[in-house]
Amino acid sequence: MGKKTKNILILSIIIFIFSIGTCLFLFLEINNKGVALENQMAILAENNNKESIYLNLRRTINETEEERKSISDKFFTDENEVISFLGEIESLAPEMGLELKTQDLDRVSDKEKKSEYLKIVFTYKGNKTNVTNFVKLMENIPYHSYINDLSLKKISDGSWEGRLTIFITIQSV
Amino acid sequence: MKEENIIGKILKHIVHPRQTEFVDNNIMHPERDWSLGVILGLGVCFFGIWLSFDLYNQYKDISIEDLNGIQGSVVYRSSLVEEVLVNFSERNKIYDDIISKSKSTTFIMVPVEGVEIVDEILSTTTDEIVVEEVFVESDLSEEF
Repeated sequence: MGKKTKNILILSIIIFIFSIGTCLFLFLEINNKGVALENQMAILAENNNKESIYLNLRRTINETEEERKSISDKFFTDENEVISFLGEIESLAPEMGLELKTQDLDRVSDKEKKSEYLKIVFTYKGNKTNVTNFVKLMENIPYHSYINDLSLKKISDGSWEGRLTIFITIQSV
Repeated sequence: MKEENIIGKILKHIVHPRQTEFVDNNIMHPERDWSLGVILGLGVCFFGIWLSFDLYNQYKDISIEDLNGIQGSVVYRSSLVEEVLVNFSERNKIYDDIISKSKSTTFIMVPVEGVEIVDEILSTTTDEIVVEEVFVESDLSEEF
């Protein structure tokens, strides 16, 4: 083999190896870009989903504003409402023919239900019809509440005494 | 005779072949070397084509819709909300009814429907509004 032939052979081998190496590098680069593309597409899909959920939530909030306000009004949010409610009940009692006293007023927490309540204990006296009407009234107050304790007793003069404990839910803002 | 010798030699060679008689004395074989080079080149070429096709197939169908992002939707139980609002409006109605009757000057105290009275001392502690369940049915004629 002549010198020129050898040089050409070596040169062609070098070019061949270089070409193969370049091709392999390009293939690896394309593969890496493909993986990056997949990751970016996943992030994009996630963002699109989040945006869709956000828009749905915003629309739901706008559409349900009135309903949520109605429900929110069923809870005590501040002391003024409590005072107003107590005043209303205490002014109603004489009109209903009852002698009413607010025995206890306290704020209690229920750890299980994770809620706060206003605990009110009323004692009242009147004829049995008025007493039962008052119980019915307290059952149907326009607030989220429940009667925890109720006792009625007939006393010697024919009138009735009642003691009622009611828990009204407080909404923490 | 000569033919017999040739045939004899052929037969002899077949039976007892001698390698030395078929030694390739050529140094270069251009056809063979070119063929090998071309076949190798074509092999590399086809391998590259296959690899390219495989990569293309792998990534051509990627789309955002196919990927599973966060699965979630806003849950708003409107039927439950409606039920609650209806319940509260009924309560409001009863409440307002009792108040308006109590404020009326010609108010005649009558028992509210659904509530019955006993003469016994009763007490209960419950977590729910179950006042009706506390009372025991009695003969109303005894009351009036």
